[in-house]
Amino acid sequence: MGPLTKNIPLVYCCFAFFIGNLYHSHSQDSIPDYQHEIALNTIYLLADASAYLVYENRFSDKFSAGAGLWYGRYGDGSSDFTDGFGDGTRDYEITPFARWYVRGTQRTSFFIQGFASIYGGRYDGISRETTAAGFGVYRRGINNYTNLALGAAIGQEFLLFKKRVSLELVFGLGGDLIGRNSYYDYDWGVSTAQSGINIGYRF
Amino acid sequence: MRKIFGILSVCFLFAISSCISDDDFFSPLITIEDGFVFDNQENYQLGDTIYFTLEFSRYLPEEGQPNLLDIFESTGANEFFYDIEFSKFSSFSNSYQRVFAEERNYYSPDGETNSASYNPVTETYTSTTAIVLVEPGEYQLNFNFTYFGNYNYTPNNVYLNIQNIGVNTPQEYFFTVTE
Repeated sequence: MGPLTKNIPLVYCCFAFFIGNLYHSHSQDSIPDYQHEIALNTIYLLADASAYLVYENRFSDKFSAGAGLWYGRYGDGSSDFTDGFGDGTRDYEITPFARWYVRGTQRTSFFIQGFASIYGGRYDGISRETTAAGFGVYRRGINNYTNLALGAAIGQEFLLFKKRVSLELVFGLGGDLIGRNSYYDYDWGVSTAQSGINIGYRF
Repeated sequence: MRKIFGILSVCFLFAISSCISDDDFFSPLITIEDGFVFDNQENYQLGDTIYFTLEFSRYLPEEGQPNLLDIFESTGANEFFYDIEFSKFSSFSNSYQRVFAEERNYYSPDGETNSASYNPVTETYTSTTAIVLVEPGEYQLNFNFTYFGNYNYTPNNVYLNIQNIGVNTPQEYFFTVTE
């Protein structure tokens, strides 16, 4: 991702928050319930041209559960490992989550979310193997990996168009529990981010 | 206003977390023990030639591993390059100063200098170096902590850095050359 592309989510995030705050002052009436929601993470769409879909089941006034599914090819050398230096890709991510809406079913509510992330991809790595003769040997090759991470997120939800449409700002970070260390293991033990602006349809 | 600052902080952290990453580093510690052999006569005449040899197996011990590492299969390298220190005592600095000799005075009878070539028969990497002693003085030949590397590695192979250490033989030799 180039610097400009990296800045798109940040600018978009701030802009959406500004719009959301304007909206917040208008109405706080309680709502009819739509239990199901399908949302699209727009930041992934804009920044990486990849689809991150989120299903959410709001089974009570204040609590919901769901899962996100992302598929893409994200990483240096993701299309071609032959340069020998691309460390790897993140190809998919499945993110089950649970949410607590602080303001319940109001048209705008802050929420706190806990999530797990099962993600994986491929990496161009060096592994030590044992030959038939019993000697060690280092071999370079492309391998698959799957990691499990846990994390937490906070966010704000706004319900629009007679509460049929939701707009969410969410930010969360998680760290690996199981899996390989990779290029994407950010500092401070953070390996995955659940962030973005989700636009959803409720039904 | 507090909320705005809160969200902006979140945005900032998001931007930061998008930019920071660690690299993987691959640096196994592989050692050769007493790889160099030099029969030091300690006193030489001007014009004498000294020889030292190097030989190490393609199967080398690696720290933290239960079995020997096959460096030939790991790297695909037909030669490993190295650099040793050949020094002469200087009264100017009261210390040994490195000598860079020209090719006719520092050469290998069996190939390229500072390069250990693979011999498939013995499954070892070998090298012989000759030094013609063309100046009188006090000299030092130091094999301690010499490193070997397959610098011409390709992306599909592995780069290894191997260290020579002296265990049963001295790796630092001193001799005198007189007219």
